Amino acid sequence: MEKTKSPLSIRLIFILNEIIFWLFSMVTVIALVLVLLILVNFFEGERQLDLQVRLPVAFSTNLDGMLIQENSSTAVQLLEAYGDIKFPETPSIIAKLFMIPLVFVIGIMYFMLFIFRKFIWSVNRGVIFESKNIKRLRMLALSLLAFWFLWHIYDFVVKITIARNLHFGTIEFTNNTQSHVILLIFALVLWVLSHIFLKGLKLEEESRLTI
Amino acid sequence: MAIVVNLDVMLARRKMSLTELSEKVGITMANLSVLKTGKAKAIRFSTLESICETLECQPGDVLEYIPED
Repeated sequence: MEKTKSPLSIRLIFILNEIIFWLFSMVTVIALVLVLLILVNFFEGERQLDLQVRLPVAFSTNLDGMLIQENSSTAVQLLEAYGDIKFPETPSIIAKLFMIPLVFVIGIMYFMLFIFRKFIWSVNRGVIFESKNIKRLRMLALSLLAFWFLWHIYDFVVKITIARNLHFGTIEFTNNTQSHVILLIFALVLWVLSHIFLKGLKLEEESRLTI
Repeated sequence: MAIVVNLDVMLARRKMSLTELSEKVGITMANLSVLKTGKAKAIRFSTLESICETLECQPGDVLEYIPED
């Protein structure tokens, strides 16, 4: 198959992806070490863990504020927001429970980055319309779909088990959750792209075998 | 495929080698080999014209339709 020099944008994406991949690899190792330490009850006694997690549900407030611009100011109210909660001196059981989705998230993200790395490697070498690339795009699309689905399950579980049982004086938790629809759209775009690549592969083969 | 390329037959009749044809027609040996072995998906009119001109034959002498079972 003919190999051509890739355009500058592809080379930049390739370099950027390499940096992100290796940084994420380091993060993965650190996260796995953290999971391991939590599993062996390392954070007990003097060593305490303060776990901070993002709540999937919005909370409602009634805070009054001002929008101040150059020459005018407008009264505003903060009604709904998303935020993090912290467990000071996190109990071991809670830390372990949160490590399960963390391992899944890291696993899927690492897998997706790994597949994308192979894909961009291939594109950078000028090998674009290849059956392996089509498989990679499909795997990426399916992984994103799985990620989107698991994220919703995580949100639902946290909502049922934690958010509903949280009690703060001035704020109330709503039932509003985020849809993460951008992930779904991105997965569908990748799936369509894999079909476009399949058509490209057929055309490329036809062109190659036209004498 | 139902279309058979009789390039080897024509070459034998003209007592010409594939290398010689390749040089005269200006097509690489690899591409001529693809054509000869029937792996080609299509043939350009310009290629067919060059082959016919070199082999002094008609397109029907090079290409033949044999119905598949």
